[in-house]
Parts: sequence; C-alpha cells; structure tokens
Amino acid sequence: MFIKKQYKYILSIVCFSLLQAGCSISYSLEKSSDSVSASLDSITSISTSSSGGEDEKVSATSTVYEEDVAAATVLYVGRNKTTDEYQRQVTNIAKNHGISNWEQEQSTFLGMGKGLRRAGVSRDSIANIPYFRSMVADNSTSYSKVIKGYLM
Amino acid sequence: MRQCIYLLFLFFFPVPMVAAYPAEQPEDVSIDFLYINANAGEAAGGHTALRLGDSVFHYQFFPDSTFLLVREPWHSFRFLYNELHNRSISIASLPLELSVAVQIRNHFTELLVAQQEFVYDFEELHQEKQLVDQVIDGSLNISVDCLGFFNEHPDSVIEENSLSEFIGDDSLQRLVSKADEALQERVQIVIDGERPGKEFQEIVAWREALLVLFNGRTLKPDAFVYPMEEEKVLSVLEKKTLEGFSQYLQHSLVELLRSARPDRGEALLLQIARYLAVQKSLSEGRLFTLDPFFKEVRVVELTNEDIGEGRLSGLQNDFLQQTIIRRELFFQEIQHLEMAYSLMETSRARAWELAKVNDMQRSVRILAKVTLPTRPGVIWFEFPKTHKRNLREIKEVLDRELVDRQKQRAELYGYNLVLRNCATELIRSLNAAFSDSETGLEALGGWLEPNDGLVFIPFIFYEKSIRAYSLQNEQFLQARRLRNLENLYNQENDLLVWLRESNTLSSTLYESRSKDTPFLFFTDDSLLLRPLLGALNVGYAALYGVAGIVRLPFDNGVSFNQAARGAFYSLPELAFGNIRKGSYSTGDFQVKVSPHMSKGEP
Repeated sequence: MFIKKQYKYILSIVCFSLLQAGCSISYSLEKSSDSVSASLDSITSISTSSSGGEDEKVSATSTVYEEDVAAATVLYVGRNKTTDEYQRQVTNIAKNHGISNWEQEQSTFLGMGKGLRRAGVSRDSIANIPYFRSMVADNSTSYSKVIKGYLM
Repeated sequence: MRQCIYLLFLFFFPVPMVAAYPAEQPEDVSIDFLYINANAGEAAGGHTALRLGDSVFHYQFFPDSTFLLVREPWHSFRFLYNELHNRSISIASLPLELSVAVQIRNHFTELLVAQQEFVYDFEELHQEKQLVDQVIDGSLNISVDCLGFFNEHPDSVIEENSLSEFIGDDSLQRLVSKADEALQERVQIVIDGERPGKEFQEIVAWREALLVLFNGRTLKPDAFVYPMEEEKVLSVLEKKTLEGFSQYLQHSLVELLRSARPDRGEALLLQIARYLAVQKSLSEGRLFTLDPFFKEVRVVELTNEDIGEGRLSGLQNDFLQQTIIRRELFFQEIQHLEMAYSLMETSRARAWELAKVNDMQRSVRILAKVTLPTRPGVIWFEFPKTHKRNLREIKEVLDRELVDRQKQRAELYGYNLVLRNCATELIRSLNAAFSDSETGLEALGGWLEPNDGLVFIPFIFYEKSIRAYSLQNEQFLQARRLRNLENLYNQENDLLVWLRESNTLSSTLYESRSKDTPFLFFTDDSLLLRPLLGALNVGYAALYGVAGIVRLPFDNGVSFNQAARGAFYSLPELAFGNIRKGSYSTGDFQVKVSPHMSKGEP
C-alpha cells in the first residue's frame, strides 16, 4: 500500500516536471536583466549561426526581406492602414534586415508587388491604393519593380 | 523599447534565412513537424516546431510573459537545440503541393509581421505617453537615433554644393526652414489638444538630420569600431569598391532628402554617419565602421568556466573569421550593398567586442542579429506652458488606450500551460492558414484542433500529428552527447565506454556546467537503470545541498538553490522519466579547435 502511494506520488511529480515548463524560453533577448542563458553559449550560438553556408549569402537575406514586405503589404491592403503607418512598418521590417534606406533597395518594391498580388489587388487597381498612387502616376522605376514583383 | 528588442530578435534571429521553397521544384515539397525532447532549465516538457523550407517557426516564452512566434534558420535552430542544449529532435514530414506549402509559409510570415506590428505599436504608444508627460512638465527631452554619433561643433566635411546639385532648387537651408515650420505647426497641434503621435518625434529627427548635414558635423572619435590588428589594410580593389559604396551613400542621401516617407530623418542621419565612416576608411586605408551597440544591449559576464580551456580564444577566432567572410562578401556584393555592409558592420563589432575580453574585462555586449547603428542623441525642447488642460485630456486618452492594449496583448500573446503553449499555438496557426477545416483537411490530409485532448503536451502533439496527417519519413537527430557516445561505442570497448561516460566525473564527452544543476549519472541512455541512477542523482544533489547550506553565508544560497533544482530534475528518473541531459557552451568543433589556436592565427 505504502509503495503504491509512493509510486503515485513520484508519478505525479514526474508529470508535473514534464509539464512545468511546457515550452521553450527565448535565449537571445538583448537585455542585461534577462537571466536566461546569460553565459558563453549565447555568444556561441550567435557565432555559429552567423557562419552558416547559405545564410551568408546576402541574396538569401533579401529573399526573406521580400517575403516580409509582401506580408506587410497584404496587411496594408486588408486593414485599411494609412500610408504613413505602412511606410513605418516597412521601415521596421527593413531595419531587421540591415536596411535603413529601403526606398533604395529593389527587394522592397518586388516584395510590395508580390504582396499586392497575394492580397488580390488587380493590376489596374494598384493606382487606387494610396501609397502606390503617385508611383503609378509618375510611372517611376519603383513602380516598374512593383510590377516585376507582381508578375513573379 | 523592451518589446522592440524582443521583436528584433523574434523577427530575425540572428542571421538571414534562406528562402522558402524553390519555385522550380514543385515535387518533394513538405512541411516538417519537429519534436525536441526535454532538458533541464528551459523546456522540461519538450518543445515543438514546424520547419517550412529552411526556416523553423515556433513559439517561445519571453520574460515579459508574452508568448510569441519566432522564425529561425534551420541550421541555427538545430545548433542551439541539438548541439548546445543537447536535445534530440524527431522530424516527420508532410508532403504537400507546392502551392499549399507556400500558402502556409506566407501565412506564418503574415502572423510574424502582424505580431511585430502589434508590439511596435504598443511601444510607440508608451513613447507617446512619455512625451505627453514631459510636455505637461514643460520640458521635453527627445531622443533621436544616430544623432549621438556626431560632434556638437561644425567641421565641414560634406560640401553642401555637392549635394545641392542633385537636390535641385531646394537648398538645405530651405529644407531646414521648412522643417522648422513643420515643427512649429506640430507644437501648435499638440497645444490645441491633438495627440503628438509619432509625427512629432519624426519631425524633430528630420530637422536634426538636416542640421547635421547643413553644418557639416563630423563623427565623434568613439563613433567607430576601429581596425583590428588581424584585419588587413584595404587593397586597391577594396578601395575602389568602397569608393563605389561612398557614391551609393551619396545617392542615398539625396534620395532621402527627396523622400516623402515620414521617418526619413533617422535614416538620413545613419547614412550621413556611414558616409563619414567610409571616408575615414578611405583616407586611412583601413576599415572603420560605426559602433552598432546600443544602450540596452544585452551584456554577458563571462566566468572562468566560460573562458577556460581555450573556449574564449576559439570563439574570438570564430568571430574574426566571420568578419573576414563578411568583409569579402561585402566587397563582392553588387545588388544589395546596404544589407552586405550592415552584415559586415555587425560582424566587425562582435569580433571587436570579444577581442577586448581578458582577465580584467569580462563583460561582453551581444548583438544577436544584424543591427543598424542607432546611438541616440538627446534634443532638449521647451514647450509653452499653456493649455495644460488639453494635454491632460490627451494623457487620459493615452492611459485608456494603453490599458486596452495591455488587455489585448494578454489575449493575443499571453501564455497558458494548457490552452496556449508551443503545441496549441502551432496547430492554431497552421489551421488559420485555411479558410475552414474542410479546406484544411483536403490540403493537409488531416486535421487537428488545439483543444483535442492532451495535444497541448509536446510529445503527444507530435504523436497525434503523425497519425492525423499521415506524416512520413520520420527522422531522429540524436542529441550531441548520445551521437558522440555512439561513435565511442563503435571505436572502443563497450563496457569501458559505458563505465567512463555514464557519469559526469569521468566523462570525456561532457564537462559539468552550473547551468545543468549538480548530477552524477546520465540517465537519457539507460532506461532500465534509470530509477537506480536517479536515486543516486537525488542523493548527490542532497549532498550538494548540505554543502550549499554550509556555503549559504558566502554565496547567497546559490549552491543550495542549484542542489534543489538538481534534485528536482532527478525526481522523474525515479519513475523511468528523464529530463536532464547536460548541455554545452560551445560547438563540437570549437572545443576541438580552440585550445590550439591563439588570437589571430589563421
């Protein structure tokens, strides 16, 4: 009887142990106050993850950046955000990819074009979307990149 | 700011990822379900993730109690969990049509972007509230990113004329006057009772950037990451490329002066600072880049354990090697110059920071991802002390909005052990990629709901997924120690290997770490003996605890706490369970290479 009770007790502790932290905790928080993994392995993980093969290619970064801009464009079209809000969001995305002047980066406009298509905007209606209005009117090089992305 | 920092990591940790699915290969496309088994500390219940192309999407818990979607490159994810954390990963694939796989990946990317938007908006709301509080007090200190790189006093470096020929009739003087007017208008708007929004800060930054340009202000001496001994002088070809980049930056400055984007001021400041850093590099014949470390950057205090046995020199060497690679990549890059430059800039800063570590200097600032330099400067701004009633009304509005956003944050991004954890959210996110369950069932060949029984437990989620979606090609990536142990069994006598490697005292594959808590025997590879070894581990932790009590006055209970945690993680072993497996601070190759390499050796 005692053994059975003890076993139940241990089993419940086991279950509790297995469940007590059901998910992973982030490691790379850039805060000195974070106690998580504040040791050499956080540097090691950066060291190694920064030296991967394909990831070294800037073209890979630009592809992921394009995906993110496309996603932001889908949200912009779908949520009736203001042009300023949209541009600020693109700025934040660009910063994450090491870009400050995103208007000079062609991936930005390719991503925008992809996003417009994915959001179901017809090619003729692009000019109706505030951010793209002047771009279409000027028939600028940025617009031709947007169309290139749209057709990809 | 805290949330923004988290998001920076979430969104892009720590390096670029390779693209999703190659459009040319419609066959053999799959999404992979991952189960990562448990280890002490961070995830005693295991963890789950989805691999989409070369990126892994998973949910992580953050210290501010938010639970957020994270995207990582597969090789980084594997290195962290499988190598450093020493956890085995099970992978099962779900073959899909390319269009479905792309749809899922796009959906996860949209979730990430929406999440980022929410966190930035939340942070901006905080900043706006602080601004209003300061305005009510009468004086306002506005922090402008990148302004901190510049000297206060003018010292002409950029010729105004060389830029004005590109920008047409609008001279810098006229742009400054316009910015002044815009600022005064904004002040009046706020006084009249409208919220300052982000615009106020943006106009200030724009005006400051124009003034920096107009006054030809130079960079402070501490703005740079200086050339390191191990770095070569610039070659003729590199100088030529750098001159090309200098022209690119000039063009960028002109474009920003013409730009209508609301936040162009800070971008302009950064491009001016970078332009000056490039000019300095060209004049000195060595590479100078801006210092990208920011005020709230995470700092790690390295211990003797961390830097011993060549680990530090190994890492220093790794970072230097990466700097060399990044430099080569920048000088080869044709299309995405700014991205390549940012990667090199971050890489140099990391190596520079780690190179400074010695017996006296143990603090290391960590850049977890590519980081644009932002060193802020503060602008003091006097607000007319009138119309405070209007401002108090704005403050009340902002307070209410903040409360609403906090509630929203808890609802959208809160953690719950059973209802909202890494397994439930993965299912929820996957399901949300389809308009309804029927469409999803058809596309995926199966369907799971987040509230489906015990599916919230990661390993049950994985097992259920295998059945529900008819997953194929199951693979098992053994944890690092088990993998190396198997190699030893193949090379040496089994009994000798077992006797030597089964415990932490004589193991050649593992070195005790305080992070792993005190334990004597590994139990992840010995099921039958697990309760016995577990009992010995509990006993060992108890002895450690006794010693911890003795040390209590000297170490503030650190040893005792370690012992208690050690015993806790050993308890499941008594009932054939296993959580703790030991972990590592360096990669396999770093341990082997580092003792023989001193700083700067090839």
